[in-house]
Amino acid sequence: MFTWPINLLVIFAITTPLVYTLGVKASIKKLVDVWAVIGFILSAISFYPLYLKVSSEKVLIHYWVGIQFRGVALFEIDMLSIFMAGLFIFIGLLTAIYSTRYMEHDTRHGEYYALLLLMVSGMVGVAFAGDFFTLFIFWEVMCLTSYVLVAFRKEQWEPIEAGFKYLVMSSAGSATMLFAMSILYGIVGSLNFAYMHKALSESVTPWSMISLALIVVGFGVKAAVTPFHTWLPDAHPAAPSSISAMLSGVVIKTGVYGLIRVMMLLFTPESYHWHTAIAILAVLSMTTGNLMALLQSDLKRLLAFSSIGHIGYIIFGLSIATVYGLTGSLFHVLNHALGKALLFLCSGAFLLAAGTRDLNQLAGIGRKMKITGFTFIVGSLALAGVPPLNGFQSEFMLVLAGLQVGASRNLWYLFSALMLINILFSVGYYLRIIQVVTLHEPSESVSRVKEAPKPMLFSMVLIAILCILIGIYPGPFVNLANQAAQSVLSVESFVKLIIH
Amino acid sequence: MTEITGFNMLLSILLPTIAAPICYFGGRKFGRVGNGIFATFILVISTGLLLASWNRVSSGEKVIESYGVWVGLFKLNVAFLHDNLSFPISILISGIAMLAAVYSIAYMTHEHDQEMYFAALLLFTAGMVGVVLASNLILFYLFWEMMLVPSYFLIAYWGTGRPRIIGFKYFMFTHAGAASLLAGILLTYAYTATFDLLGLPNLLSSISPGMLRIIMVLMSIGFAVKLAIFPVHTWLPDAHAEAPTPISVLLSGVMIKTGAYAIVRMSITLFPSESVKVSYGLSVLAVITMLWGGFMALAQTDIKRLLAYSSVSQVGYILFGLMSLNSLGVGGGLFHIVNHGVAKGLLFMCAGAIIYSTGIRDINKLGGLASKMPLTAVATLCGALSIAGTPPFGGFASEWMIFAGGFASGNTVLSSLAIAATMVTVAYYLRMIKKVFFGVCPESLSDVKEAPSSMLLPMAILTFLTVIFGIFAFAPLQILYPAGEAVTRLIVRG
Repeated sequence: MFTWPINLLVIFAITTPLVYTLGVKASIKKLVDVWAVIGFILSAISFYPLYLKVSSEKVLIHYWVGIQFRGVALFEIDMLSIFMAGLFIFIGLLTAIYSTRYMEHDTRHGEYYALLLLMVSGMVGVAFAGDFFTLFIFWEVMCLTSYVLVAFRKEQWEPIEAGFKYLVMSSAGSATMLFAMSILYGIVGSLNFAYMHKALSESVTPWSMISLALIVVGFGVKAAVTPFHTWLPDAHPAAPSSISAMLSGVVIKTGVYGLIRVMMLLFTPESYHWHTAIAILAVLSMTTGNLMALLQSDLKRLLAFSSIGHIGYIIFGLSIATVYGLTGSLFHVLNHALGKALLFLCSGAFLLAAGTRDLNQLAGIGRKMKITGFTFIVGSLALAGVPPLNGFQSEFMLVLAGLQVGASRNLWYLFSALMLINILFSVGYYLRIIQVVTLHEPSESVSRVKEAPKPMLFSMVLIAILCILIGIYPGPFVNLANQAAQSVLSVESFVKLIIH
Repeated sequence: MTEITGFNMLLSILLPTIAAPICYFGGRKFGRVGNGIFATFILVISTGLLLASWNRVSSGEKVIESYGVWVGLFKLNVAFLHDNLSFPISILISGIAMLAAVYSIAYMTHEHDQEMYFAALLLFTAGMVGVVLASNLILFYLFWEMMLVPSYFLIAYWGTGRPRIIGFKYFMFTHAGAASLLAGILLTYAYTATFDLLGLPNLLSSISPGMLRIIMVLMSIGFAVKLAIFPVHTWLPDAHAEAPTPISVLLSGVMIKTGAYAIVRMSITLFPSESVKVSYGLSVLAVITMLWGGFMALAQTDIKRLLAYSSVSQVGYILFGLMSLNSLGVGGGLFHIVNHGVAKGLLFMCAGAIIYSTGIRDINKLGGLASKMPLTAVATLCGALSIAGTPPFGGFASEWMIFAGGFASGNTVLSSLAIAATMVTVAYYLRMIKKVFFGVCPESLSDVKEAPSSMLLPMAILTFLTVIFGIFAFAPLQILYPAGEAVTRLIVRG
């Protein structure tokens, strides 16, 4: 019905509570954890033929209700969708493996894994959607599950408060989006992207401008673009670390995906000239994120602010709107997802071992937990854009694209310079967390910690290896990002499948 | 270009990189000595691999090893280059690193986590060798930062004093320089659509002079930070003084020279017309650096800090030679890279031997060690006299060429000042030697012994080299001088 990767995720999500009950009855403790991991693995396996099919056919259409009704309720899958969805499932899988030990001391595992599976299925659906109707349904699946996951540890006050703030702001964002969609429906008479592209790129009206602004706000809230970012530094640290890794690593990227898809396809840059506005938002985001991160003493909060900074880099690539810019942007989506997921998983391991997120109390913990400490260094340096790690590859690509476009749009020299300065600032706090965590003499609170359990180490080490691998041999990964960027720019082939 | 043409250079970088994790994971089993021997062994092989291109380079050939496509999107190939310029410097780097590894075995006895130390040392060396061999700008930048990260950990983890603050300062200074360098590299690509160092000179002529100037200045700022030229030198005295001594050997002896190498390879080779315009300004900075470093060294009492300031002063000489932009001066500058690398490496090793034996770094508290540590005393004297430019040591030959180049380019006043600066050099070195090795030996130091022989061996080799390079200066110059000539030929054309 929804193509196999999503189907499997949904099926496993529905059966998870049953398996959980079964596991409790049969007193097999880890049954539900294994079940969820199997779900992700199967989904990833079924994803592969889809990837092969799309890479040969470029764009794939799939009606998920079975009937063709004015181009509504369909998936339109191109390389961009594949790129994003593959990333979502991969990080989801690693998070699930990590959770098998991380969530050990919590109860309600049935709910936890069901929500996690549903959230990923929602994200994949967003990436596949070919019309606003489909997009919004999956969007809400993703949002609702993520609210609950943020507030999962409901016996404490902090997650509840953060979850509530997240819910209010994110729902406001969704409502804004819904409003924009209704205006667009009024203009075009369809919710399908292809029809909308045709109608919107032909005539620019005040109404379409307003809906553009509303859509930017809607996706911007999810992507945590400054000034709509205020929920993120509360929600991401309060969630369980595995969920923080999902939220910061990939969930905010659905907002980025939405922005890229809608702005390149519906509100084409040729007709709507949004480059400068988006670039200003990008520079604002990176500056706010990086400056605020410099001031934090809570490790997870620091990482959350750094996510805002990185979203700024990614949006900067969108503002360039060339092949290089978008390639850099998408490549950075991948690299930031890996790096930030790694850091949140590491901080989760520290949290589990030492019971604190406070940097001063975590001092020197990397000396006790050597492998986690090492992966933490790799993740921090990768996000700091230090070669030869993956973050550098995409950051240099973004600045390069900015400078290239600077020849025709001179302002981009300034923006690129600002981005370089931002990267430099960010090195400051990454270096600080590396120093505190791995170089300080171990403090009293961490004197008796032990290395993290194996499933957690597996996820962290795997991502760390990927960070190094992509940094040293970026070729194939850049090609993937490049194919995705190409497919974003080849609007016509996307449209003509619907409108012959 | 895509077919593979040899593996020597690739292996010389890859071997230490691969050996680093082996060192780390096997470290507990090998123990400190085993680890050190393993690291030394790897570095010996990698030096040998680099030496393989001796014949072809000395006959004036360019040895290019290409290994195929790296990032297709930017038409980036992985390729390494050995010519008259990169060959001697790469040998210097891996050679000194090898000696530093031998030296570390005994020196690091009292330190913790030696397995990580040797792994970082290997990575650091691989980064430095890579910088010199890289044949495109992105590869160059990659290695440029790859030498920063391990050296940061080496300083911040095993350093003395306040290592974390100093490491932070070191990282931020160098990284800010690197960001400026990156901006330059990316602007180059934005205008020429290539990163290839060999193809660039022809393409750059199409860029407007204003933009060319911007690119050149941006790149040179990055190099100047690494080289520690006067206004951006402040990280050096801290980092070099507080790093563990074998790492100071590498930092002062060879790492900062990658900045000088890059100035020749890029600032001058790629932008000959622009470098003519900035040469006078940079020469002035070079002389200020010499004098500033020299006077600051006079004021130091910490032996390693003194040597670090002396390095600041000496990179001034190197830059001054390079900025004379004639074959004598550039050749001299390049030769001084080698001589200073050998002599300063030697001096830091001597300082390390003194610290190892006495546990004291303050030269006022030392004295009369000449009779207790005769070999160290002789080695220190040789190193100091070489750097002070006394015949028959290596430093004399290169400094003579630098001053001759300075006069030939017409900067009479600056050259005279530069010569005057050597007097300061002599002054601080003689002061140091007098305080450390002569005078009254304090009671507490009466039973000091010479450092273990595994530390004396590398010192002996370097002492030997300072003398050899002075007497048989023509041997290294046979390779280095053509490199200077090749660069200056571009200047005439530009």
